[in-house]
Amino acid sequence: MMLLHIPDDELHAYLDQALPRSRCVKLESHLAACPGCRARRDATAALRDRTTLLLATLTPERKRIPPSYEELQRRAVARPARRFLWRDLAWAASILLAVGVGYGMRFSSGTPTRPAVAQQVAALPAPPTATATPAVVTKVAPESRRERTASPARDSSSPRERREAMLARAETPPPPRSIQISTDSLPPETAPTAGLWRTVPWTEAKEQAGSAPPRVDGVPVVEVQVQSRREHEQGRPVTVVAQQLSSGQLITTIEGPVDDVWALLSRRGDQGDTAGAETVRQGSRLLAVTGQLPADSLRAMVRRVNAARRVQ
Amino acid sequence: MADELEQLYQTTYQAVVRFLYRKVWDADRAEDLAQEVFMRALSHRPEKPRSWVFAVAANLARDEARAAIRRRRHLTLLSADPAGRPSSAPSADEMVEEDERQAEVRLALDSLTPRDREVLLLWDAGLSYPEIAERTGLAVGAIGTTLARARKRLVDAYERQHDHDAAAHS
Repeated sequence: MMLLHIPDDELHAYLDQALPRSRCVKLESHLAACPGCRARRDATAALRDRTTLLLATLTPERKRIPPSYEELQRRAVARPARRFLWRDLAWAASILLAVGVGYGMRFSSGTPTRPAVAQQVAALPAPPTATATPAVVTKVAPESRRERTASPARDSSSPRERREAMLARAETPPPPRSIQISTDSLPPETAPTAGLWRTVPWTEAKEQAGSAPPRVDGVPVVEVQVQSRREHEQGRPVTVVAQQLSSGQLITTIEGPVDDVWALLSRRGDQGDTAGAETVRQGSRLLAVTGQLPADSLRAMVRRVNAARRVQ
Repeated sequence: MADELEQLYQTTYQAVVRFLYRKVWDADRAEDLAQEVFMRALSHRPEKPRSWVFAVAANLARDEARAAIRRRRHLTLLSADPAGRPSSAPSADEMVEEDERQAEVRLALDSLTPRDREVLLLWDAGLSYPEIAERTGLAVGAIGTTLARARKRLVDAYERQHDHDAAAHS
């Protein structure tokens, strides 16, 4: 069949070498005989080249040497498999646990809080007794029932003694109060930069980072977290320092490689954290101060921390 | 499969970086995301790795764009060392000129419809018509039509933008 003229889309496909050979033969025989289509082919080729040139201006500056394929393989193997459901569940469970512990600690950190614990204990469902209805007993999960039957409270003859026993258990050494804070600032395991995060004493943080982790001078530090370096990484680790202002508000100073800090900040946004953040970049490192404060205050803080960091 | 992936990595890595850069407009982030794409490919071992790589890259870029919007809401970047700036810049004038040109092309690209832009970027990344069709859900026969329209619109939009900027400077 003789072609009348070649449609535009076919000319593009022809020049992009996206047509079957048989179709190309037909087009070429038509082009040989049709000056109009030849002119359109040339115009289409020019348009195609122009597009390529324009897009070529949008090529990023090559700043880094890409990792070798072997290195990429090693990283892929070293990285734990992504199991979204279980990880998310584990993360949710750890938040609940930490919040629960923090809540409990609020009431058990001193003598005045004992009545509060007692109230909690009183609010707990009573262990199965002779007066408990069978329906209540059957609702207790096997695990928790075993735990309760194994507790000394079961042998206590009076409710008062049972409560005393539970109070004694509540007085076991508490985890540090900062756990409650750590749930806000600790990145989840699924963060793309996840190494191991540890809450460490200040001296250890200094040791790991090589110097004092950046923080706002004169404000009490309530928690320091350090992300342990991965095998192939050099330099200072990512540090997160939580501090409490006299108003009770928390501020967090994050310092580390640009990508890692951005990933953390981005993760906070993903989790609906509405705290503001101000950052300043120095070479390949990024410093960020976050908190529920006006942008001007945060900006002043990040500048202050940055200035102190430069002096160090 | 490993050999195929390795070959794909060697030949396509820069194309994936470019593809991502034209979506996230951050050179460092584009490289990070490209590495993430290939690490995922190593874990998943897709049957059609080339098409799969660009599909994942597009998804990551979309997620990144959403995160960037959130960041812009909350953050003000006080950048002492702006990202994307070439470390060995030739001269201030040349840099300004190049920046302007890039901005004009970027505006022109942004003026395309999402589908036209996607097809054009996938084509420029080296995907074949059937691969673009698979990725975008278009018929293979519609790729030529879409590309014809996208190319024309890109060049027209760029020239309009360029003329507008030239008139503003004069």
